[in-house]
Amino acid sequence: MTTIALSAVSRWYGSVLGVNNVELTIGPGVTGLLGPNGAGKSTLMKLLYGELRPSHGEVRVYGERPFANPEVARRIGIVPEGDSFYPRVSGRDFVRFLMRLHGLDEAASIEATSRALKRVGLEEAAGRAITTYSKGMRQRLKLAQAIAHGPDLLILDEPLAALDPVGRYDVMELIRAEGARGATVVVSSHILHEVELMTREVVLMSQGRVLATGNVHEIRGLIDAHPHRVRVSTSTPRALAARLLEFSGIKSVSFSEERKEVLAETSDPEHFYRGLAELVLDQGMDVSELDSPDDNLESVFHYLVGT
Amino acid sequence: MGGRSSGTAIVTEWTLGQLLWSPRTVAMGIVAAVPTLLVLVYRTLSAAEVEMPVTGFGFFSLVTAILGFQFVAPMLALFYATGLVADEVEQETLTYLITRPRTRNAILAGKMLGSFILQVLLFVPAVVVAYYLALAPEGWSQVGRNFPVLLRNLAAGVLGLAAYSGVFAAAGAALRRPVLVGLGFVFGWEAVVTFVPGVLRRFTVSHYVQSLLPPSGFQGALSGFLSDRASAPVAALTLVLIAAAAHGLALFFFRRREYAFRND
Repeated sequence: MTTIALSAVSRWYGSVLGVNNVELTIGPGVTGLLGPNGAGKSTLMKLLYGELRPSHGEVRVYGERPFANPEVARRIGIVPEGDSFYPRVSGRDFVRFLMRLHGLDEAASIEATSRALKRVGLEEAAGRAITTYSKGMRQRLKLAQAIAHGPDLLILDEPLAALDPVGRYDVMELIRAEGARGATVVVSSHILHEVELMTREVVLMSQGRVLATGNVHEIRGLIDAHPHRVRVSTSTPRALAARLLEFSGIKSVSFSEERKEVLAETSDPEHFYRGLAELVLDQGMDVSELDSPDDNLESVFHYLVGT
Repeated sequence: MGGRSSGTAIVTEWTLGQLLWSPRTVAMGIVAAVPTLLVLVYRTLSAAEVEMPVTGFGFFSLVTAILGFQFVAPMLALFYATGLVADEVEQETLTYLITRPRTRNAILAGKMLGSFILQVLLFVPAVVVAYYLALAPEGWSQVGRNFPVLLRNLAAGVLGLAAYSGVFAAAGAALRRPVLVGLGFVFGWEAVVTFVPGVLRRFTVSHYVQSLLPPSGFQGALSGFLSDRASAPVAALTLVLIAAAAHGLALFFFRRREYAFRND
């Protein structure tokens, strides 16, 4: 069963090519859209949820063109790339407004909003102004408005960005659950390891092109040949760096007390992330943000495209 | 609790809620209050027995004709209507609206309606308060006798707001920097062409708004000087047509245009 079908799709921004001659079909379950920053992932997603029209080729979602198409929009939930919200609005009011706009009546919109906010762990902060939320909370709020109406298709642009390790785990669980209930979930990331924890189906993109589609383990070996870099924000960089050095597969660790961060290089990302989660959950180590500079992934893409 | 509402009604309510306590509304509230404040100054000087060259009614007519219709109404429309789409694009919230199962027409119509209601809520009370401030101290008979003039002023104001709003909403839906274009329209085209004799005046909104003002007294003299007046029915109908056509154009642009500008 095909949810999404792209046929020879290209998208130009003036003279800049955003997506280049993409042929792709995606069905139910979770599909990871993987590529370095600037690969064309967000453009592809905007084409899927109908914010953009293709310059060439055809995009079909549930057999229809998605641009300005309410029938397609009815079945979609999206997490857009930006970190922008309306001013002077609480998280609850924001989601409830979007649910009413989605066609839910007053009572159903209140019910759907409460359920979604609870699911992303924001029920206690729901009445607060969004401007008081942390980046991670805003990311969870974007996810809440995407899932609240129970869409058949979820298009999630970097939904794990800015989340702490516990938040990442929760959101990955949620994404897996959405896929398991039969929804089609397209989730983008520039971190292979994240995608690997959510799905085996990946679409690899670079420079606007789809380089490969298929099982994530097939490219796993390529990734492992390149050390994986992780930047960790923490209030105790020296202590965290010392603990990370004990991890197997660690190639290097550096830290900055001024910037309150640790930069680690590992050849065993799975062990690294598991160990880091244990440090946070079991030993109370403070970690506020995780980020993986995409240089290592980019090097794999360069390898794949032969540059 | 209510049932399922139309997309336009939901967006209208949301837009009103968003705009009501915004910094823009505070600024526009001050702009809308300028004629009233001037009448207050007039009334204060008058109470201090400073000799005034015009009556309260004359001063009200002068202030509304020059400031109310030539400045306040276009400014309200400009700063609200150009932002309907541009603000959503700038703050990157438009995606949330246009990816819901509502037509783009319903969404923009809701935003236009919410913005128009707020403009009327700012403009009408300011004119009414100015009227009472200017005339009431000279006797309630003055207030009653000139009441049709007030109604005519209000009708001209509301129709003018509708026409200007349409023009600026269309600019906002079609252009990336609509405020600059709007300012050019108000202080360039409208301001200059109004003083150019000939048929060119008929291509301004201001011409038809001025034509709706009472033909006698200061406002009649001013509008007669500024333009060869159109009849009131023709002026009213033209403003309605401008408003309808411009709003229709705004919907057309919004329906067809892409509003994502970033590359990835």
